[in-house]
Amino acid sequence: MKIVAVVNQKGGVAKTTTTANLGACLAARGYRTLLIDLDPQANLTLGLGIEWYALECSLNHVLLDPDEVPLKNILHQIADLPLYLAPGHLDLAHAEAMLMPRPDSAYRLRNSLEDLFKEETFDWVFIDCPPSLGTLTQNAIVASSHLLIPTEPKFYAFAGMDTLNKMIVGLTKGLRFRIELLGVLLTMYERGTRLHQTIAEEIRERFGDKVFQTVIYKNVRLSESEVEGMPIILFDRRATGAQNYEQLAEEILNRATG
Amino acid sequence: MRPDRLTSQRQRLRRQADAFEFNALIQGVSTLEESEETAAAEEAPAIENFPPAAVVLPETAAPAEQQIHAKQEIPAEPESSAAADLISEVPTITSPVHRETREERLHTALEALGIRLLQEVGRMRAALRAYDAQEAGFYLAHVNQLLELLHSVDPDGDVARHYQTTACPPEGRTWFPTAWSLAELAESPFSALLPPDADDEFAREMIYAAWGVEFSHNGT
Repeated sequence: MKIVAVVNQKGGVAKTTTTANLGACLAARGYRTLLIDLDPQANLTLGLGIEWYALECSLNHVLLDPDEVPLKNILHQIADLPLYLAPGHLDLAHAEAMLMPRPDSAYRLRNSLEDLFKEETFDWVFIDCPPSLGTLTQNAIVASSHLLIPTEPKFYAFAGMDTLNKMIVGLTKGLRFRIELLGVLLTMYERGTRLHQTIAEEIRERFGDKVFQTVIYKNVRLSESEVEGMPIILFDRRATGAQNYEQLAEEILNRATG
Repeated sequence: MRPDRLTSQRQRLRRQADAFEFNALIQGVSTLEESEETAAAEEAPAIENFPPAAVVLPETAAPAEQQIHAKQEIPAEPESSAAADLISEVPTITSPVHRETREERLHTALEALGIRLLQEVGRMRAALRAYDAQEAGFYLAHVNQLLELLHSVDPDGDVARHYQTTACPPEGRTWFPTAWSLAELAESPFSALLPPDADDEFAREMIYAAWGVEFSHNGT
């Protein structure tokens, strides 16, 4: 089992899209996959067809009171696949504020996952992080074994990864965890754009084989599938976005199996 | 795009990348003790050639196989001293209130965040008055995290203004920007809280503390 935090403090780099569609592609291959929506904007939850504001219980309840609401109780199965979602909620922002002064605040998600894994088996867990480096993202990093960093091929990509690097170093001063990079994923790539190509080459030069060979091209069908509340492979399997994420799933499985 | 411009952009990119650090990301980090790492490795399921659980594995597995990391020691929050007298100046958060509508939930979240923001700013101010850069940095990190959240859920501050939540930004303004660097701190209103005789070294130590990095006074 791998627990992967999909993280980048910059918004709009396809963290949520990657979490939903990569998870769906792995589930479609028979891998039991859990998606965790840790972003108070709860876009992953909405994008998978669940209206978070109508939920009685979601992740904020789990983080604040795991004895009363264990993680297992809030899971939703998606589209008859072995794909499960722990839904997010706007109240996660409230939960984060409540958790901040608690000394175990960074370990809440890890402890909840440990309890879940005593009863449930998963091959992959993906955590969709908020676009910030606060307590929720700390929870994701401490709970994870791997990082997946989606990034646009833009000038500021390096600065973003430097900031994330600093955060990881900072967390090592006070928290106990172990994490390694699963890969850097180039997203929203525009075909035929020389600048994107140049930046992508520079990122590959710095991160070597940690950068996935697969790139995710800009594709309107991805956005449309989110509006429809389903992963792209169920919405339009022939779309470029679907093919990109299928290819990414294969590449990740190849990496995992060495 | 003209080749000379492309070359120039590539050089600029390289200069920028050279100035940054990615080692922790590329090499990975572990703060688990060696013995614990060994034990975890022995207990962890093999990654190589693992089959899809939905196809092969039973619905439940032995708990030992499902453990991630053992429950961890809890890092201690710095023992605040000077902050204590100012904490009482701001209201405290009551237990979570689960309201019915989306608007009310957002209202509740913004109110809680606003109160927490005032508390953390108060603690930071107290630490700065006590000339304690380490403690001020600790609370600056909290302030930054709260501001990131506020920017995330209410980017323009319109909702907070509408509900007149605690610490909502004034008309025509949004939330304060975060201050994760010296440059950002210099431009931030929080710089006004620095002690009058605070120098660059003090501010740098505060920023380092916000990142959780200890700052060595002797420069080593």
